[in-house]
Amino acid sequence: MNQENKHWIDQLGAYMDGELSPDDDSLCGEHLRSCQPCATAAMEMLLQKRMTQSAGHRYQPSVDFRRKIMQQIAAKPRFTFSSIWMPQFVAAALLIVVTIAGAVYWPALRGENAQQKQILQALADLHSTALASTSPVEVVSTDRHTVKPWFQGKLPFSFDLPETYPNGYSLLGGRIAFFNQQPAAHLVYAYKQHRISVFIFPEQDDARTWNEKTDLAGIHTETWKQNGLRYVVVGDAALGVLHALAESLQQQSLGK
Amino acid sequence: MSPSGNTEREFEELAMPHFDSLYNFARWLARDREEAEDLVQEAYAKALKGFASFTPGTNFRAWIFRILRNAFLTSRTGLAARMTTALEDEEITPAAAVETQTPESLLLSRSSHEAVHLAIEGLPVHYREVLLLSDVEEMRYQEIAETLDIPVGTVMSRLNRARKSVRQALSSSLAVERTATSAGREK
Repeated sequence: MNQENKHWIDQLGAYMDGELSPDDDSLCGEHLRSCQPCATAAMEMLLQKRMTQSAGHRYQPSVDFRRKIMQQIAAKPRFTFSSIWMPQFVAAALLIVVTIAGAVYWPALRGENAQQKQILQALADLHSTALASTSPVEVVSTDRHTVKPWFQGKLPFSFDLPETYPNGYSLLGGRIAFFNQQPAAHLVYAYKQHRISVFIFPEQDDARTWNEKTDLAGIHTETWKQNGLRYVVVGDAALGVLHALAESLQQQSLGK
Repeated sequence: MSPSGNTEREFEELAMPHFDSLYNFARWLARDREEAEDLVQEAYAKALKGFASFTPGTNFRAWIFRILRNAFLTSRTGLAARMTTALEDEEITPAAAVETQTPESLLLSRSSHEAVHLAIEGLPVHYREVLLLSDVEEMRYQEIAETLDIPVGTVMSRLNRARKSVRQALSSSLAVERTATSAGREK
């Protein structure tokens, strides 16, 4: 092996890790295009890096342990003297209005909210359970032309998926989830280290009103209805991260 | 003094996105589920308690990974663990690929997921941690250096050695597999 090859072989690790200076990175790339032994060595290193990456993502925390940590660090409201009295004037006035309105609407509202929270909680549990399993998706593909047809014949409805997503988002695959005694499409997306689920199922009840965005002990959800289908995005990423994915799906369904 | 609600909320927003990664890292370090859970729990408790000392705008991920890693070293009679690390020869070694040419890449591609797992698990802790932070967590060398509190040169040296050891372990496991296959054929 000549000195030049030895020099670049020594730099290959840093080159694969994107740690060379721009000048060295460009020189190394140029050398690899013209040197077969170094190109082979680079290919081997890249292969090994990918295998390590794949084998390294091995352990998933249990849902119970996640809850335990969430409870351990959950924010508790703290009141100071100055924050106590002013809001009480406002609260007293509001209380009168709310009491009157509540007497009329509360029973229906409570049932509606409780039911909705129950549904979202069930979907959050499905999300966590799927991610904790060894095979979170049944069809593994980033290509909508593979994932969407996989659901054909398995679901009594159809839906569209975007061709492209905002930067950083990628489709990992899909599975069938059973929810409310009916099958639903469950898509799994990646955003950085986060995994985001999208559940899609038919919704007949037009009268039901939903909170568009909710926080269930650190698991966020965003939901909307489109073309007779209810979409629910679930994940522990920030609401803004979920919203960008939701927008992308909404635009596809609108045919934009 | 306990952190205020706002501080706890800020902490939660910064810390929870790293939960899966911290747990995975802890499992690789401890090689035991219960011990890994204890480490993660301890790391979150210490990080929350010391959150006031964290400088906003600096690298939170490196900070919380460092807390976890220190908890691990302490749990393993810290002094012994640190001394073992310090006595290692830290000279920068060439990349592992020098000795392996074309047929090796084919063999490497046939290595099973389990073989790679065993090869990583068989590494000494100071090689294992640097390999995981680089190839699994995709940290930059500088971030790894901050997390492990070592110079960038040492990160590069350990990473090269870790990769070389993994490759050697995979080659050995493939050689054993080939010998077993040919012995089976002869019977």
